[in-house]
Amino acid sequence: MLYFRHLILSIINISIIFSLVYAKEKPVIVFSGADTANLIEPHTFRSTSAYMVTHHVFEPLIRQKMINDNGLLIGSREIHLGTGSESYSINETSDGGFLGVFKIRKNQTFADGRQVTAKDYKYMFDRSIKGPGYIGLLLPFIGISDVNQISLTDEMTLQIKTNVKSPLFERFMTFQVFGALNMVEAKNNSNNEDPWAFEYYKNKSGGSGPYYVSKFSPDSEVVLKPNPGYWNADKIPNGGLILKAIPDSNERARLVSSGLIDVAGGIPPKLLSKLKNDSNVKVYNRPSSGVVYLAMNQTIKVMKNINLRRAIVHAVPYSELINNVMYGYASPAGGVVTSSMETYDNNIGNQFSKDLNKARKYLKDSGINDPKLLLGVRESRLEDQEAAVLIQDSLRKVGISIEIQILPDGDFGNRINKNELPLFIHDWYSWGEDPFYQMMFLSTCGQWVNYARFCNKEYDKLVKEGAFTLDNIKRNSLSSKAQRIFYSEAVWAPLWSADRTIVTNKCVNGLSIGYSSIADMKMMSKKSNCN
Amino acid sequence: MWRYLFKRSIISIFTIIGIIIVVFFIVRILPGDPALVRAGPYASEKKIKEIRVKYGLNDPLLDQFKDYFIKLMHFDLGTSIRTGGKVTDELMERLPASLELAFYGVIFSLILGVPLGILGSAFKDSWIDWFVRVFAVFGSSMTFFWLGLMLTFFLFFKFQWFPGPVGRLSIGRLPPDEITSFFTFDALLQGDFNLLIESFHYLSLPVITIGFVLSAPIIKIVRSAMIDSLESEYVRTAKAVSIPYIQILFSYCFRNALLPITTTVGIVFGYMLGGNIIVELIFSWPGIGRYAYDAIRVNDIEALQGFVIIVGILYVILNVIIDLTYAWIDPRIRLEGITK
Repeated sequence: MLYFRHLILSIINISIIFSLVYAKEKPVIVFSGADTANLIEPHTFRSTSAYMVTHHVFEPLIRQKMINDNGLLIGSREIHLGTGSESYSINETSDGGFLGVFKIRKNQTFADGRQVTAKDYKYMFDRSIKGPGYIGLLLPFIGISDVNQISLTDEMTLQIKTNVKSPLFERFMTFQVFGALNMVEAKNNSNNEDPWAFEYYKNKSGGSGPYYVSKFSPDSEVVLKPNPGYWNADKIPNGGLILKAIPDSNERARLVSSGLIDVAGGIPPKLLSKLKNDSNVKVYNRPSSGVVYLAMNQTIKVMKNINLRRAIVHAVPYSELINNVMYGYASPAGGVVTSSMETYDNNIGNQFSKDLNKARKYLKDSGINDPKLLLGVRESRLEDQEAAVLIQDSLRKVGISIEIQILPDGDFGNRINKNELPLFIHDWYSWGEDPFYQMMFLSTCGQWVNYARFCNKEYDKLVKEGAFTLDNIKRNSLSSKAQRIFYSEAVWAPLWSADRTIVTNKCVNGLSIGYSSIADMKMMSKKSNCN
Repeated sequence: MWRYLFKRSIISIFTIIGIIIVVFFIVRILPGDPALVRAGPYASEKKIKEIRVKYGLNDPLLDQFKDYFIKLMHFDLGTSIRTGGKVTDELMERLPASLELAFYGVIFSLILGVPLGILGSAFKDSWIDWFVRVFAVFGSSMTFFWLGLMLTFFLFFKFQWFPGPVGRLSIGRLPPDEITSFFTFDALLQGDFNLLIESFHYLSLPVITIGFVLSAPIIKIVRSAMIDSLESEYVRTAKAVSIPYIQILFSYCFRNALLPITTTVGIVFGYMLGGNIIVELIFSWPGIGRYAYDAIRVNDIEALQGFVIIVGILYVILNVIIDLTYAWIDPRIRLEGITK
């Protein structure tokens, strides 16, 4: 009997040693962009790479269902699945709002091992509304403005009550900025001057998502290690992520081709068109709802002339920009509601087209002879600078002189805020991809980011009504009317909708992209012996 | 010597104070609003105002300077508006990377430049001299970015002889425990020879890029200083009394040529102290050059002025070291200091 026990123990020992020796460690996925994160505080405005870090660190209540689209997983706009919550329901209330009830998962912990509860989710909403970050500005859009609208029915059930019926409510619940934050840790690291621990979370993660931040070097490298307490940890096929800054896009392209990095972001379109022929990489591109636009600031005297604005709208070489600046990695934007967005009206969008005769006629009607205008572009955006040159050339043909000013990003932001640039190229992407949300921010009266300073009461009324309407037919009709006003008022020349593009090495799979347009790498795996 | 050092130190302190004053006011002339950068595009005017108050951007300029100067006396260079971190910490974290790169870049340029300069002078007007002169012209007309890109394209991407431009070590590799913060020194001190080799491996391409370009002025100055010495009367006398040519070259001429060489090395090293932004960008080198570039781009004024002040202080220290080296090389200088 004793021998038998020894034999069994020996077999167990040998099998443990065998499995330790032969068990393959999960591969670490390396992503590279022009920079990494500047800071990772979830409610502070930060670099795109910083949003990518927090995307992998915070677990929202629900996420989009991912659908395979030729090797790339794309988030569905219609189907959402409980992630931070194991089940949820959203019902209309008698007082014209929604009631969302979310049952929080029991089998999930933060990286420090503490159980995630409904309190941690409520804390994050409270922090959004009362804290010094910018996220609180977004919540009224779904009818939340008071912390009392978020309540707990028990330790593991979160209840959210809105005072309007916004079609965006469910989509908002997928946003990383409403994921659970470790309330105990946050409270332990707060003080009177900083009651929400913003200072503490500048460089520390407190989420319950698939990873936690193990190393944070701003602008250089961020190392994310798997959170063992993540509810779906055993399904994650990789052993962590490294986000590495490789500032030069040519070097990034070479590194992804050679397999030293797995995923490369921020590759310029010109380089993408070359990489497409490289058998070592996969270039993914899908239409996005983002927009790059030429804005005309209506507080500046000359730009108040609607015929001049119309002349500019019809003198812009839209197709040339897509072909020669974006190398085909873009589609016509078609207006403030872009061509891949719900409620987009093709008949109106198509009217944003180059027609020099029309442009000359409008310029004549404007009564302005030989206008000379300043066009500002950002130093960090090469495509905008190239576009500015083509626009300058095209506008010259109808008699409008343009002086291009390439400005440091900080100066550019300052000057558009102070209404100092009559023309400038800017861009936008709306999380949630909702047309009314986009119109509300970019083109209604008094909005801070309505840099063209367009203001039309009828337009505002249409947008506000559409934003809180669930009826799709009505939404389409309201959106069309608003788009028509936007076109006829010549608020912008919408230049293009850039594709979401990302390059991966041929040996990796499982990349997904959702509402936030951020590359989600948690389901990425790497083939061994591939390169 | 001590008196000379004391005199130089006093002058240096006033120079540093001058640098601080000039930098503080020049940085504030730059266009742009740092509060806007911090707040981001979604922020309301109220939010931007709050940030201005928090960072003291609304205070009178003289009050801002007074606060800044007091903080500076406590080695506090302020807070980066972009990262929210302490500028002193962020610069100190990145400075060793730039210094290590500059150090090896200058060493490599000396290894390349001094022998070539001596060769050119020793074989003046021969084909060797011609080759040295062409090499120097080639080096002077070369830009860092072009050479860096070519080296990575051929030596990393095509032939895979050198590692990719991913920074100081391979991706995911842990750095050595911090002693000097120079990875090569720390790896050596800890006896980690694999890490030492890897550090040198990753230093190689940026060092070659820097060294090749910087060797050009060194070649020119060594060659011309050596030719001057070789044509002097004491060399003619030495030759007349049959002192071996090698001894004349190194013991007499090179020693006399050391002063202009030291000046050039000082200028070259000083130039590299600020971190070579282009080289750091191409090789993803996490140094202060890249930090300054990001600070300029987004109008991060405290980060920018912190960078300029640190570089200014280093430059002043470097100048003191060069002056002391002069005095060591040429006793007339230290005697002059004493007699005056």
